[in-house]
Amino acid sequence: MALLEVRNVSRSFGGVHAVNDVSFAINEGEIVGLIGPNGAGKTTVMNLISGLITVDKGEIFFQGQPLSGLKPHTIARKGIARTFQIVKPFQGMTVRENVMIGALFRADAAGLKRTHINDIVRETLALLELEARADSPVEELNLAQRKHLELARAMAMQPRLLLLDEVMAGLNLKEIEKLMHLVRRLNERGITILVIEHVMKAVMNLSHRVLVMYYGGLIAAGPPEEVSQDPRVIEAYLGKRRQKGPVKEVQQ
Amino acid sequence: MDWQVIINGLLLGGLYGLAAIGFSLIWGVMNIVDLAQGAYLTLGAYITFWLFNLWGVDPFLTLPISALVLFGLGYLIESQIIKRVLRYGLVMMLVVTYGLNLLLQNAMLVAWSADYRSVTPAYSGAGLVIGGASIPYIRLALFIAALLLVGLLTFFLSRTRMGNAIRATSLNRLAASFVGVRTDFIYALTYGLAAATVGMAGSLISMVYTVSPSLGGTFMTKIFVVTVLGGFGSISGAVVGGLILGVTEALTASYVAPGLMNAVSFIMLVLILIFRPQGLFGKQFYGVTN
Amino acid sequence: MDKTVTAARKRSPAGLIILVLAAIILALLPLVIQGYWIRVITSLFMYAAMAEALNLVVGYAGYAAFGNGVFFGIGAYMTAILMTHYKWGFFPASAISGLTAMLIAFILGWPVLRLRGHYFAIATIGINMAVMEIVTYVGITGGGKGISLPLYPGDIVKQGMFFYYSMFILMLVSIAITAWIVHGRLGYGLRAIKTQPDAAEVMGIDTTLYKVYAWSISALITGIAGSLNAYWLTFLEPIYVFDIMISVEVFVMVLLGGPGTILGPILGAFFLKLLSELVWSQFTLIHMGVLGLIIVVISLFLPAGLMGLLRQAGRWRRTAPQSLGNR
Repeated sequence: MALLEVRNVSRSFGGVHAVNDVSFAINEGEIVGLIGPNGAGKTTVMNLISGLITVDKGEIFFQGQPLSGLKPHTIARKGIARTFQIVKPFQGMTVRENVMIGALFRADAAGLKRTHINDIVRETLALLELEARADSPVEELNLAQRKHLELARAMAMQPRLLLLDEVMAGLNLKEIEKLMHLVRRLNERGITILVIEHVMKAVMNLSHRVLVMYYGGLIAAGPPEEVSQDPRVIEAYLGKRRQKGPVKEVQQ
Repeated sequence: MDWQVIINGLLLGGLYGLAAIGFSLIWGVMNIVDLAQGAYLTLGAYITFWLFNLWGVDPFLTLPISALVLFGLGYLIESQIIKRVLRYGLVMMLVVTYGLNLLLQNAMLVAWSADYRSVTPAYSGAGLVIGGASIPYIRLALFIAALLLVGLLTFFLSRTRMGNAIRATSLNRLAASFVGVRTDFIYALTYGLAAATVGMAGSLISMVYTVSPSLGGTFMTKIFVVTVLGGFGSISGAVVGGLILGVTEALTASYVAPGLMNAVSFIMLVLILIFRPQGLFGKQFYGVTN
Repeated sequence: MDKTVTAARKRSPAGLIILVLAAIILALLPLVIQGYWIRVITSLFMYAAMAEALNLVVGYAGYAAFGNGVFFGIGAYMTAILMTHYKWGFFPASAISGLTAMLIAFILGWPVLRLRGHYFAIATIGINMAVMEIVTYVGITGGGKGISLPLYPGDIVKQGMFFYYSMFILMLVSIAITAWIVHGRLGYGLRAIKTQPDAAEVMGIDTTLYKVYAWSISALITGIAGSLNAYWLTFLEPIYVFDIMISVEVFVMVLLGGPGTILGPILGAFFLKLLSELVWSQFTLIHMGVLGLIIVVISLFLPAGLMGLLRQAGRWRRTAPQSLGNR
């Protein structure tokens, strides 16, 4: 059984089909890339999975159970964590406190002792290489550190499935490599990952499988090598990219 | 159904609508809930009262003076105080505008005492009778004046360069500044314009209500209801909201109980906020009806 | 919420000592003062408790509950009705009054706290006004003419002591509740909701429930303050207890002291009330105007409140050579 199954899901905003009859499944332990040009509906898919917006048609299953009608916090407690494309740190708190929120509200949090929560926070900070900034206010972090913090908060929730929305956008090559390494490490710890990414090299390298969206529909799916040779994909997406060469996407 | 009740409600509703436009404009353009509107309304009413009582100026002719004085005051308050507090956010704006309201209201109390005063021009008694319903001329004149002012404002916002700049700023302040709109100036202008509008409403209201420093407080609550009914950010919404409130009040007072008139409108306010926070007619922007 | 979590930052023992000292002084104060000043400080405690209660909603959850005074009025009228019409004793009446306020906040909170920003502020004002109109209309409350409560049994000194210590305890309880909340899951949840509601939600925080909790607790404390105040004054009128000015004054105390800090609102309440007693209480005519002026001045020059000022002063002192890095 797939960990996550998206079955014929559609969602429109005032006549615009942001997501149109999309189906895919993600298996336990995979890293799956979700790519496509801007406005293809990738983030909408992520919002639908995490429950921030509701599905018009279709159904999403997590561990075989339907998610429809559930509030985002309930979905989160089932084991789905996510990051945001535009980072959303909790201002007025330290890095440690931000990460602590993840540990405090996970499904098993009510049974956890204070020391245990502190342990989780410490481990997570170490894993994402944020120990040095642990007691800094989040306002003092640079963009790369903020992206690490997004990941750290999600990891402190101990998710089964992690949704990453453009965690690499705006970073330089070195920072991207470091993040790729981190994402692999999270995966090795048994976390299934769905990643939206514009940085082609990163997503093609990381993903076991790639899904390609175009104008709200899913136009291709498969191993990265295969997908990158698909003429529809090249036309929709990679064609433009190739001329520009690698890899950096400028954010805002 | 009694026509007289409906007509009374509609005539009063026109004034409610005019009074609410300034509040709705500020909310729509500057994203501020301006609790000082009540004080501007009171000031407008006092201007009319004094001009009429001291020099015998016809109350309708005091409108431009009210507008001018309040525009100046509003412009000054925006550019000296509001502008500096804007960045501290919503809570601070609520409180600072309420503080301004207290300050102005108290100044009027000190200057002119808490006495109830009234403006009674010679023509205030007469009226005409249509099909059993009697309509005082002055109420009709106020209603027409209110509608004319609404029309004037609509024209200004939709047909003039400055009006377009205000509407552009209301849609997106940053984008407006990119295309060369001086948004700082537009904010001050909008605030001044809003103060002038509610001040003129106060001038008109002084002819049918007794004038005292607490006049604005009474109307402030009506302004809330009207704005929520009509959906903030639209002139036509404010007018329709005003008419609905006027009629609802009149019907409640004569068929339910006069003592419940306000209770009904506040309950209506809360229910609409809960079930249709965008107002009865959906969200609209100035002049852009869709 | 049963598991409390210590904050990451350390609390200075000096602050705690000052706090305990202040509490002891206030507890012993009635030995030296009497009459007028007892009454002043009693009302000061009351406002401090209400400011602390409002702080939960405004300072922590970030919701502009501009009509929070409605719970003050509900608490007052509930107590009055139970004591006069049903001959209840004060304590059970007060408890039921607080719980009624809490229950009303809990029920209204579900629909109303989904509203954001201005809409919520206006909705709370609307609720305040609607309840006032209804209380004025129905018979059991005595309507617009008001209602009288039974007098506190005992002489005037005893009476003064009773209300002094009752309000004092209410204030201490409000501080304790806030401290307990702030260092627990509810506090972290509220602070997260305040800045990033969507991120809070996808991290497993039931944002609506948490806001409803905060508002309900706030209503409970405010309701008991209203109840005590009713018994203290022994006479109630709708236009007095539901006056939007009560909400506004409490709001200003929170902002003046520093929203989102445990002691800020208390500090703000003491500062504003004492200032008003010492400086302009004799000039009743301009009382409102001066309050208005203070509000404007705070907004312009002290947007982070007194606590913000203190913290900044502390930072200057501590971080002279290294301004960056760890706080």
